[in-house]
Amino acid sequence: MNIWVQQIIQVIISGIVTASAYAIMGIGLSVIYGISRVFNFAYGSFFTWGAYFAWILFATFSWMNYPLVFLIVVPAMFFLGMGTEKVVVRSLRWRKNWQVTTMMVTLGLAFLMDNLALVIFGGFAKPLPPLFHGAINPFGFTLSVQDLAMLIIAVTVMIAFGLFLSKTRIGRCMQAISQDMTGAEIVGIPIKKVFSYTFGLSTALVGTGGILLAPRYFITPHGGWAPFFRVFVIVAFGGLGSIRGTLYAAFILAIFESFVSWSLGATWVMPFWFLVFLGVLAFRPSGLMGTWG
Amino acid sequence: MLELKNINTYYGEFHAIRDISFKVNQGDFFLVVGPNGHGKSTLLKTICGLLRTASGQIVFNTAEITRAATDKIVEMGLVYVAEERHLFPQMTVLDNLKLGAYNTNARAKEQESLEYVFHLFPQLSEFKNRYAATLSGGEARMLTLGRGIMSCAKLLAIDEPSFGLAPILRNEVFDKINEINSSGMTVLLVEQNVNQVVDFADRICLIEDGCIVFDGPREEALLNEHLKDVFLGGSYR
Amino acid sequence: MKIEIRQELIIFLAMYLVLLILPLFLYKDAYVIGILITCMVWGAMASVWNFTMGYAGIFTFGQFGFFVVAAYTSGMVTKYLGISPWLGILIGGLMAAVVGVLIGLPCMKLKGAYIALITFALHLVVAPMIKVADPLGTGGSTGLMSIPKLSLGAYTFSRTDLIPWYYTALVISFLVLLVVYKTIFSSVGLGFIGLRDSEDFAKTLGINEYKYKLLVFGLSAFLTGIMGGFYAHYAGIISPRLLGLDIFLLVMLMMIIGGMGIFPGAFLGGFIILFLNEFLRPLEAYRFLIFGAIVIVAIKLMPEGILGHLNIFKNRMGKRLLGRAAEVETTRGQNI
Repeated sequence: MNIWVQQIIQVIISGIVTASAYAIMGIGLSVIYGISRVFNFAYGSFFTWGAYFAWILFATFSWMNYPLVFLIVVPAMFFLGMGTEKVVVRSLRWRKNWQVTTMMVTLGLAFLMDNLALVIFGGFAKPLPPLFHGAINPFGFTLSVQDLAMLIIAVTVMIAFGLFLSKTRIGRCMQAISQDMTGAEIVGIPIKKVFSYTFGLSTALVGTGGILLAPRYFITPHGGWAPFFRVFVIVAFGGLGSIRGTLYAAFILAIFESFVSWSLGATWVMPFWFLVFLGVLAFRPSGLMGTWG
Repeated sequence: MLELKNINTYYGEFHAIRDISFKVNQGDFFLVVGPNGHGKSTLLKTICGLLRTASGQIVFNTAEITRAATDKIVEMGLVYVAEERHLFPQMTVLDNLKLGAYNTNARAKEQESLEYVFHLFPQLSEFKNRYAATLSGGEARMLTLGRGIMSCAKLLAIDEPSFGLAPILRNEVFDKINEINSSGMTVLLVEQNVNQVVDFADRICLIEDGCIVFDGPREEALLNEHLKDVFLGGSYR
Repeated sequence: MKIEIRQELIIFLAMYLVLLILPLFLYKDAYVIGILITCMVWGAMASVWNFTMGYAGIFTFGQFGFFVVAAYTSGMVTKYLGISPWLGILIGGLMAAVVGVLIGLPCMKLKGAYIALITFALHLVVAPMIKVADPLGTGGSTGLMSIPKLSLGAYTFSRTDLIPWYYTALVISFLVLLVVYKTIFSSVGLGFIGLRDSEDFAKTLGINEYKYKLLVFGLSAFLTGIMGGFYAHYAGIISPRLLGLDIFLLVMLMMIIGGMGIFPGAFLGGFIILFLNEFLRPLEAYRFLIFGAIVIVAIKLMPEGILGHLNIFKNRMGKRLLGRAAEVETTRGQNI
């Protein structure tokens, strides 16, 4: 096969793998906006902390393995998120301009969390062990088992989340709130409680993303900002609050990113994201399928 | 069944409800009339917990609900049916109704209530799988009423159900509300199209500028000079 | 004709009077003079930010982008083209204004929270852009170094004597604040406040929303840019680190502590926060941890800031921007 074609397919595969991780993080960011109208600037910090929790487990117990890590960290992130909503965000909702106030508060929270990580773990990058070793070579392409596992886990999480939203009672409540908040309130849905579940769910999703991406990159106290910005652009591109839009955007943009990185080099990745962002703003500020403004 | 004692509500800086007290008895059809923007809707929103009272007391079935959250109030059986409908547009009619039965009391009787709603509004059962967004004004209004009944309501607080409907449809909606009331449900109705409902009402209350101007049984209301103009005019403009 | 002397103006002038005579007592202490210069730079920037957010109600998080764009522009034109730094500061300000208007254009159609998101994206992206533009002479991630100093006639400013810098900062920040003050209390400013409090109401009065929003973007970017240009020549080195979250948060805190929508509040906040910053410096990494916590606590407990809580302004215009007296309706956000 032509070496170019082979390389391009390789690039697409790597794009798809990153896309799957971005997608679950994007859903988390989008869902919390769609349901509780909160934009969480500490999202990247929750990403970092998810990875740090995993690192603590690996560093403390030599026999630790990934299934157990997910089993412990994901619920922990869920409760951390719920607690954050209760303590930090909830009371602000009754104020004027509360959406912007919430952004400022979550910025403060991000700062607090990042520097807490810096104080506890230090500035040095921490590694996580690979999810899996080795690689497979279907049709002459190289695909590491780690990437494959990441893809499978991410897709499973997405499907599970979709089922959760459409099949469970609380999931249907979340949909109801995102479609009409007052309507949800007058049928007797305890919206405050659902807001806190949503926040928890969103942090659990980003924590999962953190653990999935950490074996590829290192964990640093401020390392959550770059993925946060990407997810932010993905969500803006797909339409804030739209899960399907987020999914499409994640795959389109991650594959493009992997092309940019392959053809122009890694320094162009961030400007690429910004150019996409400007393009979205200029031509379709409401995103692919969102309802902005 | 529902008693308001000296309720005051502010809307921002605006004093929308001034010292309102009244009592709705079990099984009553209680009609609240008054000009547009004089606090009728605000009153209902205050009762069902969407707005907070500045002072006063609201008692429902011996329990105080003055500062209770809306979900708690709904669970007790006081259900608000909004003028702006507030349906879930991307859900089917059936799903909208099922969400009406969210609270624990209603959940147990979901099937029973559903049958009653479909009996009351046969159209709804016809297009139970259509999305709420595709319904016409009259159909959507029926759905909001149905969704309210699904919540296992003991008292339905209905806000301006004729809003945006053609006169024939209005009569149909009012007939349905009367039917609901006849089956034993207490109804608190806020309405501007007075003469179409006045025959159904047991008690009528007139609100102007956030204050109660008149409150009494229908027979008394029909003799009241001030209210006469209202009924002759048909509705406030 | 009745001349109205506002409380805001009195406080503003009083602060500058103190700043004017302060070096008489402190001229030997270069450390404190240095901090005071930074206070004036960031304090003025926080005031411009407060003008945009607190008075005009445009929730922009992009002020640092404007600041840095102007700082680099001024630094580069003076360094590479040999233009006078004074002119460079002006060019920097104009450049920032252009960027401000360009960012403002897509924001025209959007409401509050979305503008915050977009402008914050601008903030996040300026740093990588500077790094990519290294071949153009930005100095990449190490920063732009040896930026020419200011000079006045034959005298060239130097880091050994900070007093000339101090008074330059004083004059420039005073002018910036004066423009802010004049704008707030002009008919244009009343238009802004009308827009902030009720867009529908303002529209019925015939206030052209687009025109005003763009004007705010342009003006606030220009004024921020002027401070940025000055900072570049004063510091001599600028780097993408200026866009770090730490400085962003400190300046945001100045605005919050000073009181949003209260005119000289943010400037006063600048002094409070930067002196607190110096005070906490020995705590090293814990310092920013504390600042993060202060942001949360201040917004939760003191939404009107220090001046707001002291209740100095009985009938001020910018009251309760973040206060508790919200309508319950607003909590539900927009429904479909």
